[in-house]
Amino acid sequence: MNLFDVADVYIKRIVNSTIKPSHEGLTTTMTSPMIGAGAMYGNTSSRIKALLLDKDTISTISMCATQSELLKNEIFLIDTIENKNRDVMRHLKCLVYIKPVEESIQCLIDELNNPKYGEYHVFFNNLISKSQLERLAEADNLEVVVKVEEIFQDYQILNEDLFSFEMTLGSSFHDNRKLFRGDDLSIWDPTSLKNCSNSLISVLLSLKLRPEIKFDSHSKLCSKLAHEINNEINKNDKNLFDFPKMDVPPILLILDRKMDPMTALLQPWTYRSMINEYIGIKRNIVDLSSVPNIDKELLKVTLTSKQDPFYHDSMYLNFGELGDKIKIYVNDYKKITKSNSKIETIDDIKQFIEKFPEFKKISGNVSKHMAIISELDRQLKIKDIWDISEIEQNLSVFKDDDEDYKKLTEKILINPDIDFFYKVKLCCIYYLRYCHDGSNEPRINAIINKLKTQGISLDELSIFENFRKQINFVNKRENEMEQSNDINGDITNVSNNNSKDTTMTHDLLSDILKKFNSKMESAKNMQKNRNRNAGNTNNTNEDNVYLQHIPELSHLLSDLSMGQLSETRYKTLTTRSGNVARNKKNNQPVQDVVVFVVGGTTFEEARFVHQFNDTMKGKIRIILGGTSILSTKDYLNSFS
Amino acid sequence: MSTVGSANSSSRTSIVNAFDLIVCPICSKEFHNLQNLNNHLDVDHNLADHANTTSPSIPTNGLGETPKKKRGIKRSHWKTPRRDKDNLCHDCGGTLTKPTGMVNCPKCGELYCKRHCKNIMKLNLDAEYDVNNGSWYNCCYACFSSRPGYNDFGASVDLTFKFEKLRSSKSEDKRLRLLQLENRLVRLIDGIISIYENYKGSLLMQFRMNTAIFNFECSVAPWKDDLATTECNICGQKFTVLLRKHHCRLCGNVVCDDESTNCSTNIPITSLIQQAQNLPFQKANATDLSDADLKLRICRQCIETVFIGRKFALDIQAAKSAILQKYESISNLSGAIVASLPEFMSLLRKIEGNKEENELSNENDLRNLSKLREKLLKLFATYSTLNRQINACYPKNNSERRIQEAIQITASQFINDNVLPLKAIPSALNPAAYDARQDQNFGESKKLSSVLNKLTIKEVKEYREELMVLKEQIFILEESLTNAKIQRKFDEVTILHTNLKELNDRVKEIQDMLGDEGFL
Repeated sequence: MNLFDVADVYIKRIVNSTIKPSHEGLTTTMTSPMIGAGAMYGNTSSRIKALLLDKDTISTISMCATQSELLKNEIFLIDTIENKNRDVMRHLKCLVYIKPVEESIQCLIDELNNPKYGEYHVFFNNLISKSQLERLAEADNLEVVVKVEEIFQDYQILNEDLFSFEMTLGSSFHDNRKLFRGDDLSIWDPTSLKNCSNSLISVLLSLKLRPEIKFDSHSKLCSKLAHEINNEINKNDKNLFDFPKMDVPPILLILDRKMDPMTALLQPWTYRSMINEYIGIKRNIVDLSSVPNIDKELLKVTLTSKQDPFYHDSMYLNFGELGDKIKIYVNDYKKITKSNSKIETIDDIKQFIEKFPEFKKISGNVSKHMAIISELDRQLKIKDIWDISEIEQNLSVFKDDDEDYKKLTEKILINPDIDFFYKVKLCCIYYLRYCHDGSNEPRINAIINKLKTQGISLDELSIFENFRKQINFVNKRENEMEQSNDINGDITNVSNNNSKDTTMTHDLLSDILKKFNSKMESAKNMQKNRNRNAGNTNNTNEDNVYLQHIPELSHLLSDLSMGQLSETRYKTLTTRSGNVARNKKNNQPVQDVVVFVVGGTTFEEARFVHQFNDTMKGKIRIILGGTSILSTKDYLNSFS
Repeated sequence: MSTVGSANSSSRTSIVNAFDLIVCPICSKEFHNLQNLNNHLDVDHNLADHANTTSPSIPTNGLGETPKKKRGIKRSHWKTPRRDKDNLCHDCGGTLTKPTGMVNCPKCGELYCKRHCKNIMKLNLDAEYDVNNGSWYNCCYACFSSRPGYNDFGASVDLTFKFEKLRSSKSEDKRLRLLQLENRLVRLIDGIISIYENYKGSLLMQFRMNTAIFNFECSVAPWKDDLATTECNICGQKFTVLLRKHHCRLCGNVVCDDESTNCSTNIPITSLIQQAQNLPFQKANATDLSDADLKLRICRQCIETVFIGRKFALDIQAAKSAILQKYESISNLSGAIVASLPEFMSLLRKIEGNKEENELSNENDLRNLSKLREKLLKLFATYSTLNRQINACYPKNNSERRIQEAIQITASQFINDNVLPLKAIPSALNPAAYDARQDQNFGESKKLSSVLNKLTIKEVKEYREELMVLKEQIFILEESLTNAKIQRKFDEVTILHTNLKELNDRVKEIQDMLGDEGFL
């Protein structure tokens, strides 16, 4: 269950592709002197290989393989299949790796009609339909294709336990089509549903899982997707999904972002998610060109946990821990430069040259991370994130606190320096917290009025209105579901009550904690002038004002690991008939889980999954994925 | 020995538990005896029906065997803890004591501490992994992770056979069509040439020849009725006074001759013959066609059908471009280097190992090492010359330029990766470092250095430095030499040549003196 390993296997398959001798027999029996040239004259072809990718696979490859890895395998020419102006190089072998979508298939057909290279090994990153295969076969007049294979990586790997489909959420800029429709955004766009289910199928196939599907029954989106996947698996029962049965069946858990909107609204405080929030990271590339006075070499930098050990260790650290970590890193670097500075003897030179490539790598890495971190720090300051986030966290964790309300209305909302985006976001958080009891309605109206007097634009206000509408829809549906559940079983009711009790005590405890924290914070602010993440010296997340909120997913995972996941809330669809009855009765252990969040997941949740995996040490392995990885901007803008 | 209880293990209550706690295999809750655990399993995990079959209160078979004798999981392969020595956990290696607990992994039988034997899997009575009939046991991580299908990933489906079958089912028609067109081409060309032969030499006959050819062409391919067609068969443009109708001589379709769409082309017969040399033309080679102005109009589709494959085959058979050719040899060379490096490294390690132990290395080994090193250095020298040659090639097109760059990167990477161990060798052979480290073995090391050469340490250092400078100069000179050649400044070239020769002579001199001391 390590996605990097999966990617390595697939990349190896592509770059080391050879023809099986058994297939040549078939080719030669039917070749006329000129047809089948590719296979016939294969011996005179060069060892150099060209790699053709399309716009989807180019990112898959670039996120998992480095240039030098490809070069090592004699892939000296990489191009896109959409590029029609490629030179004819008929001595080269060509590896084609594309997603089986109409555009790419058509490009490949055009290519095969007039092949530019000597022989073709074709790989698809997902299932290809029979008619597509037929059209390709028809186009291959010269019989240049010697291999066709489906491998399954129709998704972007962001970490060993995190994947994304990069489906844009809101009104995307180009086609103005939303992933979801309907008043409460609970209806799939048909093509998006198909794409999403295809990609998810490829995740399952690449991990060789034939899972039990569990889904959040409160969400129509989840139920639809779960059934779609289930159908697809049952359809390909015999030929694709005939993996050995496991004693503990793997689980695919489908969740909906709408069930935990809070996590996606809060300002994040760990390295990776902060980069995503304040600078933006797309396909492992961070664009620093908007940073003032940036070095030319650092305009665009890549961050991969696979190749960059510092990033690997630090991406889930909070901002305070990160500061310490980078300090150590820089000091180490300084030590090396010092040892380099005294080059006197020939031996020193030799040593220096031997170490030079590594040295250069480290120095590049240090300046890269320094640039990113100082930019993060700058953004935090100019946007007043320290204040905003504190209130956000307090609002999200504690109930009914007049102090917070006061702070919100008197400190943040009237501050003209703070962007309206954050003010609207705070409104949303406040509403989300208090929408369950009507008594807070006047306060919410007061907040909105305050915003109006500040001169908020209608567009920005409509974000809040839409958000409010949607939350109301979700709540209504949840209430309906709960009522029907009440009739169904008393047991769940009891457990619900229990959980309510525990949240009460939890609130009480955290209240004390909060008081402690805020005192700590003010004391520290005086000392440290807000330079560092407050509460840092304590180094535990619980004590940190900025990391109080714990995503719903975390509770879910611990429930899941103890076998206490609510069966009524998270319904199970089983693919092997006959299991259903037994499962209901039997509290089965859990081992391999793929969690998929419809509507996008966050790096904060990824951090929890990563930590969970670390503590379970292989007993439970979890992979998290989502239709996309959200920043708070992405999420809030999806309501506009 | 302690055991781990399972749902149907209640029959084993008599077994002595070294450390009194029993852990539930499902939720890891701890119990003081198996009865409690059993109750827990029945109630909390709903295993009641499962447990019933083995419950002690119900005799399981008609022979009246007591449940205690009922066969439990196979235990003959379990390791018994040793009394005389500390028992170590097979995973973490820690000593097994009362707090850590001591259990056998029921599958492999090794001893573990409780922490490292907590992975649940289903085993049958033979202690084999069994999905269907097994029941839960706590096992070690090794057994847990080696379950079939557990760490399996990377499914793929090979469609090559299916693809080829589809392709061959479609290719029958295409082949027939191709054969037909080729036949027509042969007949057309042979026919036209024989008409040409008949009328050759007589200017008066030119007109009659054209008529004859026209009539002949009509008879080979079934020409479409041009009155019935109003638009080009390929591009679909309407014919006008300016856009004339033409017949393709191979397929007979009516097409335009718009140069922008390239729907049809008037191609000289000679080039047609040249492009399709494997067709059985009868007259093509016998007659001299150099001054005959004979052309055939062929549409784009027919050109593609008949000639793309031929062009493709020709290209494949044609000689590779210089860069590609050179790359073949450079990659062979790198193969040779990679093949002989391990031998070199093991020899080097052996000698260095000897040195660590203050032993004098075998002279034979030393000699072999320096020989191998020389060979490798030579290979590297050829490698870098080849590399330079590739760099000097002029790329034919953009792709070749990119390939050239890629080869450059790989080559420098290769040298970077593989020359380093060669550089390490002076410290193995270098008497200077040797002496400094081991004064007491001075006499011996002197002997060692005398095997290699007769220079003093100081001289070696000086010469080496000179050598480095010289090599650098040679490199700069070579570059300017190639530049001069490209810019055709031949007077400069001669001067540079003499300079280069002088430098090379000096380098050779020093190298001879240094022998194996020259590490560059």
